[in-house]
Amino acid sequence: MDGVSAEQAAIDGGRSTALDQALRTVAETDLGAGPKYGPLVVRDLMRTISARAYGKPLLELMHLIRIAEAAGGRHGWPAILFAVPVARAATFRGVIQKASAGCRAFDVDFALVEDGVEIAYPDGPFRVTYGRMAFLAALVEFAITALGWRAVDGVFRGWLDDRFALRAAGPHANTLSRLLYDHLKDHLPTAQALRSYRRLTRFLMAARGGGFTLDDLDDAMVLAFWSGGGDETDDDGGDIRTFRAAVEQVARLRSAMQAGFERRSVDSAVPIGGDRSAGEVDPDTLLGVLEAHDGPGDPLLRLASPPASAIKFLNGRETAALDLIAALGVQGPALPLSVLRVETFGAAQGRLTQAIRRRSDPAEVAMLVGLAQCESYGERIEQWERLDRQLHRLSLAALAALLEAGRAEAAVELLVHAPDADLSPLRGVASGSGDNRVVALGGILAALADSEVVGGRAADVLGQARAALRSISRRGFSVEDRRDPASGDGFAAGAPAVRAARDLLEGVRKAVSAVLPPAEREHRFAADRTLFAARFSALYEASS
Amino acid sequence: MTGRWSDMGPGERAVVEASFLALETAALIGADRPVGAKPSPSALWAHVTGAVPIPRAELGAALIRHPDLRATLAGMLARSAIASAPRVAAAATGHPVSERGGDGFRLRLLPARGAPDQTWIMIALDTPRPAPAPTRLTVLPPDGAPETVALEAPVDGSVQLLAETHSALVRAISDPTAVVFLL
Repeated sequence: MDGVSAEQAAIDGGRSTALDQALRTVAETDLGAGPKYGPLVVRDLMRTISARAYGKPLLELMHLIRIAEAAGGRHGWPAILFAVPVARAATFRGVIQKASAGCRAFDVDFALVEDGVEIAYPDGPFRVTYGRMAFLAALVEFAITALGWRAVDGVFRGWLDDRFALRAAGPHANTLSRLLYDHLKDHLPTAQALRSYRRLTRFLMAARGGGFTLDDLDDAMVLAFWSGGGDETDDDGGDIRTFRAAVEQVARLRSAMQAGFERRSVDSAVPIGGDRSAGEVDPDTLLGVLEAHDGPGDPLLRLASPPASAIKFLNGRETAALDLIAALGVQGPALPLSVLRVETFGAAQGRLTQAIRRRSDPAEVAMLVGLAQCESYGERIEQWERLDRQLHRLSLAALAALLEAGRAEAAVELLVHAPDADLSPLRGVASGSGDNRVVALGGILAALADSEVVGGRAADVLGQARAALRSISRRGFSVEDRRDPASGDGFAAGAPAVRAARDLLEGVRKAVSAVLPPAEREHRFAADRTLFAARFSALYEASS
Repeated sequence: MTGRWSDMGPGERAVVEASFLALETAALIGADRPVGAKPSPSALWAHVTGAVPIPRAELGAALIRHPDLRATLAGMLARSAIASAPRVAAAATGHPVSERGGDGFRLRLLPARGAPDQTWIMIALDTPRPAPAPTRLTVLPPDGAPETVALEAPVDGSVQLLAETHSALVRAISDPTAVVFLL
């Protein structure tokens, strides 16, 4: 590897451009109404592709194509899947319900049901829910971007021309699955991932011996691995250069090892062979591991997705401060010092690589390598404290907004903030049935706002909540913004996400406090700064 | 849930390895990376149907950067077209043509009398007339951006429009390797 490629590898790693591009194309689709696919849909698509768990979704897709072809009129299925400006359950519901009114097949072969469309095949029904359609549309978008129109439409045409039968869908779904498999075989960065796996496990075997446990994947191991223990440069530049990348890889190995221990009783799993054909390890198992690993990051994605995104709960700085903590999820508290190091020295490394990319003055690069202006551990911990208070304030404000909007979610939020509140007096208000239940809900919400009913503790919380709501001037929190009928949905989706983000932050803060008491912070920071500066010098000064 | 690496059997290690690879792969393909913009199938469809047209220069650049897009665009045009005229059988000769015959229509290029720099584009729709009537004419050449022009409502099954003789539209129609679509 020459100097230039080494520098480039330090800035980013070698990956499949075609696959990155296909996924970004889907993620950035915008028909003039904002991103067509929400962050959660894009994340689900990436998980499905990474785990090669597209078998069942493609089968569902075949049935959705039947529905869309019937509802799409002269243009067929693209008129439904591609024409919706934003891919959400409500949008698909609206488009299909409207189209079905003028389509005779909807009286015979297709039926609108509460949550989707049911196809009445002669050999059995199949239902596609509106909630699933956004993901399936994104899958079509990805498939056409990756494989081309002719290949994908050809499979769909074959299916639509085939007999109208539930069992007939399987072979067509398998055809598309094989096309995707062949494409991904050439584009998924599996070889690079495998090298990372072998590098990590070899390092652990050498450093801790063959009997290493999950507990050996700790902060000290991360630092040793990044500091040179894992150095094995590859021809694709796949070696670990950024400290954050090292931390995230170790976190992934922790999740993978946990999955292995959880699956101890499973005897059927066989080693993945040279051709990595689908099904050697159940793709759904892998999908489950992916969900368990990055599921805790969902709060930030939920806040960035409609309806919560209509309200600016977090600003860019706050989102950035939570990004790594959310990405590490349950593994964050297991690697507390590593989180702290990424947020301080890792951030400095980011500025350093940007300076090198800009071809900045060597003196500036040298100053960044020396970490002269790096944020200290104490400063970062104080920032976390401020962020925690802000999340608490946002959460309280959301409670007040929900109460004001007459949303039932207000009761849940109140109990979260005042778990010891005695809400038993509400029982009397809650009586009623049938149409009276609506009245009863209104009564409950009115009672929640009444300190005489809910008691002093809950009343205190509600007072704080109203004060918090008045004090926040971000988009969505003003009196005028709260008059928007959609505002209630935004607060209902955002309030639990803000709480979940705060829980993640609290988990890391507690773990950091346990391993790094205040008296040791300064000394530890100074020692770590010497170590990181030396490593940065070795990594970057030769190539700058 | 704990244990030693050395105590793991082949099946458990296979799950660990496959899980790590899936997690690592998701991270690798999920990371941001600057790449040239590629219109999504939805965006192309919105362009083809006229709902959200992509600026000509932008689409032309994307077609150059991503040659595979042309086949997708052609497929979508064919799907949404009321009628189309394929590349001319004798296209290999490369000689410009003045007439295109398609499924449902015939298109002719006629020099405007007294104005050699202008050309009439005359479209005669077959009987029975296609329904709905076409509102746009799009020509997809083998390279470069597609050329599109709005059409007036047909009169007695005919649509006429006047274009510059050296315009990209007339040149594209004359190109025997270009495909003509009525949308």
